[in-house]
Amino acid sequence: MHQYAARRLLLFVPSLLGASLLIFVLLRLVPGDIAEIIVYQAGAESASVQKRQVQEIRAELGLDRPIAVQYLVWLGNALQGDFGHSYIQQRPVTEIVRERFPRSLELASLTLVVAVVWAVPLGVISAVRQNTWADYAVRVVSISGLSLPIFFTGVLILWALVRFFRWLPPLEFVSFLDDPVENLKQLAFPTLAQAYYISAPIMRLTRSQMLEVVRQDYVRTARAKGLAERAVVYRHALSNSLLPVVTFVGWWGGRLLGGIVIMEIIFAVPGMGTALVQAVSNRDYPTVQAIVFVMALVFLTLNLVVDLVYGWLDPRIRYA
Amino acid sequence: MPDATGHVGAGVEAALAGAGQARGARPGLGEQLRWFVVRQPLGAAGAVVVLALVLTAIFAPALAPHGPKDTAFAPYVPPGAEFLMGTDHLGRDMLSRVVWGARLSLYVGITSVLFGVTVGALWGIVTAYFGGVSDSASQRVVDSLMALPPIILALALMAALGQSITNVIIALAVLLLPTAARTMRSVVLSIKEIPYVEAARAAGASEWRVIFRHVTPNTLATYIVMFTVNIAYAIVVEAALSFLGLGAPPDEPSWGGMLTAGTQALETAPWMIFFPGLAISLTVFGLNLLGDSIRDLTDPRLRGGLG
Amino acid sequence: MRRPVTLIATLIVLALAAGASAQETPRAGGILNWYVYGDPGRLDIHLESPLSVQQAVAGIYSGLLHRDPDDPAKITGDLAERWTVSPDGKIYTFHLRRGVKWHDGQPFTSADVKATLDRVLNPATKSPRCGSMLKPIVASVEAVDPHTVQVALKFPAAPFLEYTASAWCRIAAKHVLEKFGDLSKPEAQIGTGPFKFKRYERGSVIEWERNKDYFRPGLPYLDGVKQFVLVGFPTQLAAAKAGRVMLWDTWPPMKKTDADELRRARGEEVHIAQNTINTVFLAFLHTQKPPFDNPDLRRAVHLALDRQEIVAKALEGAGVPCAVLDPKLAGDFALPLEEVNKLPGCRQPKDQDVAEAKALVAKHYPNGVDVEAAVRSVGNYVDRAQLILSQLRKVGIRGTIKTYESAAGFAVFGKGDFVFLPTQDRAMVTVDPGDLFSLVYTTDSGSNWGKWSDKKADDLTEQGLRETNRDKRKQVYWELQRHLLSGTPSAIPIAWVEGFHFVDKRVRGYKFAPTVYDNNTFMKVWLAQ
Repeated sequence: MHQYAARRLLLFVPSLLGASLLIFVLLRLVPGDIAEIIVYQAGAESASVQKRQVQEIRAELGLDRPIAVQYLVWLGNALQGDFGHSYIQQRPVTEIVRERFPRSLELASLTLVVAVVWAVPLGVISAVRQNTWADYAVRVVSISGLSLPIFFTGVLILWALVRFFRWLPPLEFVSFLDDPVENLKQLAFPTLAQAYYISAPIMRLTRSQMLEVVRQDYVRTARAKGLAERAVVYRHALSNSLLPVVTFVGWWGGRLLGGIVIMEIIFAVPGMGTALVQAVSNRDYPTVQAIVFVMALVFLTLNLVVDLVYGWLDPRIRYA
Repeated sequence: MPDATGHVGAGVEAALAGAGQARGARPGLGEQLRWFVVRQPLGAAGAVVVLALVLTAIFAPALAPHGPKDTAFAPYVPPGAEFLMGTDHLGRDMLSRVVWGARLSLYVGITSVLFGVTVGALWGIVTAYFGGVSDSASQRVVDSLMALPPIILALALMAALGQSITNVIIALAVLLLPTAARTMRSVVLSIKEIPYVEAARAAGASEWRVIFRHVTPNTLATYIVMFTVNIAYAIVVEAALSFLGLGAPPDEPSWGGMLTAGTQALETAPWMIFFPGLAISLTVFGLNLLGDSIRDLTDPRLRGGLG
Repeated sequence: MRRPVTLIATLIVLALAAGASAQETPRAGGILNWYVYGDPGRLDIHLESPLSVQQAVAGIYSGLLHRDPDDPAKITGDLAERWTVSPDGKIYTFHLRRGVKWHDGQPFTSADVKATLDRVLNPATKSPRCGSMLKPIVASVEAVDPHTVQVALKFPAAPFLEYTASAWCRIAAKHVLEKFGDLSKPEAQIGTGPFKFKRYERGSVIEWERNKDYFRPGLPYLDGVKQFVLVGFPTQLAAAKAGRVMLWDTWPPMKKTDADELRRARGEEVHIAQNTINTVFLAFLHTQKPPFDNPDLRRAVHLALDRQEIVAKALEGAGVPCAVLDPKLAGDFALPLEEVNKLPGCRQPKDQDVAEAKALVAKHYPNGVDVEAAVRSVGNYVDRAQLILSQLRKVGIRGTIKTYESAAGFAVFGKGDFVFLPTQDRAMVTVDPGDLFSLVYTTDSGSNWGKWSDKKADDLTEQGLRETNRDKRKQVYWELQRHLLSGTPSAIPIAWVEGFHFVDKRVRGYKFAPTVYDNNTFMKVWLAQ
């Protein structure tokens, strides 16, 4: 087991570095950099002056060095905990991440909790009553969640709230610690919309795992022993099917930090998603690097934890 | 390891063989269809929707009364006799745009999934089969790609490549690739040790032959399911990209682009959002129901009730 | 018996009268809510150029001069009580107010004005707005005594006062500049304006609070101003319809359909008006690449474009077609619209012009010509571009749209990596008629993306800058406008853009300004209940 854990841990690092390198290169393939944006957007000086200004700004920020050098410098600093300063916000990027991360974390966590609470029981019902109307109803309802792009649901909610209630959730973010009610008032709707959206895969997974597990011998044995159907289902099958669901939630959880960006935009939540999209748009490289790094770190960590738990529970997997 | 689509492993040949054996002689096509509709009514409904989509896409030029980019008409005309789905903010016929949108969505969906899922699946199959260092290394690459939040990856790709239909396809394909690779890899790992596969190897068949003749067919069901479900996913992701300003070019009749344009006139011209929205929902619904049913049928562990 | 009734009646009438007039007098208190379309990021008013920055810090600072909040068409003194001009028109002496304090309590003196202007004029600062306006005309700044500043111009320049009054040329504190180096940080927002910078929650909200020591006693009336950072359009409209924001007066303006929706939702409670936003919609042709290096092709585009249709469809009727200068903004400096609308290219019906354009194109490209149209995918630019391309198709110019993400687009334009730019708006910073020409039409201008070089345009612009006699100046600009409309410039005027703005009826003392940058300090605004 320790060998397995050590191996997985060792393989974690290259993935993280790979992700950071990937986004580093990809970002530089996007046309225009911060120097060009600052100078050309104003469009005020003559062309020759603008050209010179762009070069000056690039030199100031070190953007005129070869890409490989820039990455290595970034990496060297990052390993020491220095992720640089945001070009736009003029403060350390770690400060920005520390500010934004808890907000996205809150929204993502709430979304996952609501989605699981809603989808897992539905998946169980669907499996237990496979091929009956209950099964069909559950499947239709959960697929309807992802049948409309999430931004549409969000915009529709906003419009309906205004049209029928003349009310909007708060537009200003307040931390949960400062005022839980205001905070939840703002986050309730994006949470519900996003949870509905991701509930389908969770329901599906629960359902298929339940179906698989329920067929196994020990369940049949338990039934043969005469235990009530309910006891069979809830005690044996459910507890065993929850593990794959946890895996799945682990996988989704990491990606949700970035996936909630559209809800953040629509409901004015200043989270990591909006910071990232803005940073990409502004070519604020240090901010993009740091935020993507954090998102990748969370994703890979969750995956690692889940893999380790799986490996501990099912020895066969360790040798895969 | 379970994947996003909730599928773990497959044993297609065994399953189908079992089904056939139970029935005795091979049933005719009509009987097979009837059996499918009875066993999987949701899947059948899904299949009907998908068929309608495909037909609309194929016959778009005949079905659409006008061109999708034709701005000759008055803007914001409500649905009526002249324009069944109304016109949009630039005076384009919504019916024509929605119909041509079927063609575009299908084209984008199929192509991106074809490249993304197929390449990813092949990658997953091959590296899982050979195992060892190459498998480990390729897993790192796949993990790196997956660790990047999908919307951001797509956004950055579109910003780097520029807005065009081809680039949307490329971006979506890149998005789908790692998940497909991972899923297929786990499928292959679970069937690698199945006796008849080992037997084939023992009998001296070349590695590639074994892969293509034995391993791949077993993964076919998973592939089909992934294919249908991911087409739906591609359509929805393209819509999200349009909202962020980096989807297909707005003059193209993409349903996602229409939805985004419709959000700007939600109250004024709800038909601008209603019809593309309906089209997207039905399509996604149909594809998902169909995919779910195929999975139900082909995974022996999922068939039948509890007893 | 009657007397008490009459007495009571009289008292009631008097009370009502007093109450009615009390409604006219401003009451103090309340917070004004509105929104900004994007997160400003860096807050340095001298270094940045986006509107979001100016909006974020407008109320914090004062200028030497400003647009009168009661009558934004006029320029009055802000930090300068009065000023004099030397007979040769080259030396301006500003006499500064006394007793003005910075928000941190330090006294305001002429040293602050000198430090600010020196900073803006310094080429190393790269000040895009105030700097690019003042650098060409200001020679030096001198602090004669603690309450007097003298600005020496290189030549008598007509727009100098207009530039000085611009919302971008605000005065910052010398000690703040020395302490922080620049004004990018929220902590550096120390001004002399009606509001203090209270809080900047990035991505969420910007808050100002009343400056109790403001040099105009009794002002401001408001307790504070709050700006929500609302990036998505649906959220902005929803906020307006739900009454969460009290006004919108700047860029981007609402479309007609949005205004209608707002009217349906809150018609009784808001004033909605169509305003000009001092922004011009231009198409750019690259003069150094085919096909538009050929002046005939440029002329063909000018003739073929149906501005009236573009305004009707793409701008929903909110715009002034074909004018180089808008009479609503430039007054009589603008060529009268009756004349403009009779000129080829601007006149209706378009048959004759379209035929001539077609002939011009066919002369050089008998089978027509294919061009790539670069468009930034913001707002409704792509829609506009489609309309333009469909019009040009009729004369044999076949365009395909290539969209660019917003920032990448500016880089492409600036570097000249395009052939045809069907639409890009340019917002004017002041109402001085020369602004447009210095920004777009001279060889060295910053937005001369098509790299046009025309001696007559350069000379006339320079002349207009230096001419102090108003009538002569008018003649210069009329000649310049006629030259552009009859010639083959690289930047083709399509329309001056207008849009819809709204103000909550509770908001009093507010007047729309001629530019999007002005009159958002809210110094004289108050809220009725």
